[in-house]
Amino acid sequence: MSQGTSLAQLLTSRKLLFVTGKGGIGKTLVSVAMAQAAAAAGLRVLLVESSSRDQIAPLFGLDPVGHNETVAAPGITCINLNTAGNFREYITKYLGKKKMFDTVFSHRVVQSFFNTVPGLAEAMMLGRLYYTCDLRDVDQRPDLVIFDSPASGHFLSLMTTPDAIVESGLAGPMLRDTQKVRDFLRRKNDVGVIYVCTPEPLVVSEAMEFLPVIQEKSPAKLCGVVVNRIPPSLGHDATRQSPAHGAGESRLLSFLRERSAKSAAALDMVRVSTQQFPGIMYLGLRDLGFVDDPLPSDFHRTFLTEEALHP
Amino acid sequence: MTSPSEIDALLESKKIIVMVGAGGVGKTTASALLAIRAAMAGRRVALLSIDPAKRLASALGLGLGHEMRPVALMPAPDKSAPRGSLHASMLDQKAVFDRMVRLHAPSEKIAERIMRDPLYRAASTNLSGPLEYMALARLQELTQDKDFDLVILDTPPDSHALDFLKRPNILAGFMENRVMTWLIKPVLTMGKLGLGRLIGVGEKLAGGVASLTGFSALRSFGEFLLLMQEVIEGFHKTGEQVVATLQDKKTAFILVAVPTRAAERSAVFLADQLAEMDYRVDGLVINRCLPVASATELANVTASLPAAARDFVNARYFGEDKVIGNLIKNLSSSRKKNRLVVRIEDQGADFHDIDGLTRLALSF
Repeated sequence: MSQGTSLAQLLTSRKLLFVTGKGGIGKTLVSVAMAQAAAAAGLRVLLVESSSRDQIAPLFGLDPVGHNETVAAPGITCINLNTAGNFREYITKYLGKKKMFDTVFSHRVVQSFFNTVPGLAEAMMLGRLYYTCDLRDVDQRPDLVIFDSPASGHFLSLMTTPDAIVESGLAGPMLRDTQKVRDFLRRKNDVGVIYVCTPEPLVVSEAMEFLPVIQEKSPAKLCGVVVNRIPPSLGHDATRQSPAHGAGESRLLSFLRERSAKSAAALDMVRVSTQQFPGIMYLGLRDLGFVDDPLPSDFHRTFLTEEALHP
Repeated sequence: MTSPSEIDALLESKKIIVMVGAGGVGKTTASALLAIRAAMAGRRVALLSIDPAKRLASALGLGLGHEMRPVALMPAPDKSAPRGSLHASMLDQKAVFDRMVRLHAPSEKIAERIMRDPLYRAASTNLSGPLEYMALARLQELTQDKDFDLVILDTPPDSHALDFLKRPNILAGFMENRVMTWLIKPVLTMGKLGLGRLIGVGEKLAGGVASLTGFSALRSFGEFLLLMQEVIEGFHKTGEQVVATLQDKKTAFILVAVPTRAAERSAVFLADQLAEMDYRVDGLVINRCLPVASATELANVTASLPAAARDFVNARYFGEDKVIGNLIKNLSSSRKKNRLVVRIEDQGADFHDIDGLTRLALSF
């Protein structure tokens, strides 16, 4: 890595990393491998997701953990945050109003009410991350929180919520706290967004349209781009078009060859785009073909091996 | 895998096909393929897409605006002309929401007031909010449309697919008029009495909420909900109709997956949930598969590759095989009925044009 920040630098310097990208692109694997790498460097990591069903726990061979911080591996705890849990903790732990929660906020009708207020679930989510990173007792606080975030479009809705709430006419503690959350997310040295894509021209060009929007609208800014699933080189023989190209050629081989060509073109696009975001991390990861679960405890060593993005 | 005639029998006999699957598994592409195949075979198809990738949207001629537009079908590779028709549109959440409000509001005046409300504007455009519900409402509209005899619905991305199907029931539970009024009325009558004077249960709850959000926010939300009262009842009725439609024999759910462990887990989970909710899963589409190769072909191809590439191809080939095997096993054990399984080769993210889609649609 000749330019920009290294992954190790990001992992050791940031408190909160959001990992996002188009759906099905490998966000969860990247998040988990980063958590492993950080834990291997001696950090206490909290690995967060918010999904209708746990994606992270099975990668550690665990049953779904839901909204409970659970030790997944040495140095790594994981949790699948949900709105009801975030809401309860905001009122009981952060505001310290346990009694009020029991009498008012645990009520089904009130919970439904809060579920329908636009943006509240998102605000609670971000608030929970802020609380965990910044406000918890130091001995309870992780060194790094990695949030395996929703896919691009939903991620943008999530990150634009604080602004929307601040401008919505809400008052009281919720307004005050949303402002604090927004200020926290703006702290560039503590918080960043890592965008994951794959080396396909269409995916890269979509990414390059999306990233400036993040930079403009999200309080947390881009700190890294990961290009996942870079296919291995096919070597000299296979790259050359065989004379029998056409009817007799293996579909499998032509598929592999076509993919290599696309990948090379996409990586060229990524290289050009590096100039748009100076100083961030660029990381290329190779395609492993298939990843079985649970992951080996040193999965990050095979996975987070840098492919040359900057030749 | 399933024979072509079974696929065509399904496309021929159903009135609604709902495609479900985790984010990024190619639901929209799979929806388009089935829609094209059905249209080529003679059905008049409406394809409702939620969030199509740009390239696919342009291949289908999906612009902004939610009216169904005709898609220019191409002749099949054997030159036979399309026998049916295909219309497609992208869900415009706000447009459906507006129309529902107009339809159910007691007067034009109230409809206008609702649409001017800042809370309405936020709710009607919020991505994670009513999207699922609006898709269902639109589906209900389309099934009434005499111009179409098959509606294919693509569902929202990510983990929202399930909310999407549960939504009618959530509405039924929550949006009950009385409950709403019970919570909201005291807020509106409290006036300037102040929070300390609240007595009844509803008032205590409302006061508690206000201590967090500020009184005026709660008040404007209360006013909004009161304004929406009849609209919400209308939504509720539509929700119930949709559930009945979705549970009908003429509706098929098709699971879409890719051959990875994560997608396998979500597909199995989705199938269980659907079964629990009494929706029938009639088929499985597995996207992004390696081109089918015999063991000999695999050995021949990998022999010429460097070690890293060889490991990669083998890992993917055998990994996919395991996942596809598991998917078929899991999904056929949950119900006895024969299910459709379609395996689609990996086309990369950018193959979409109507010609390519047609060729692919007719190939499986």
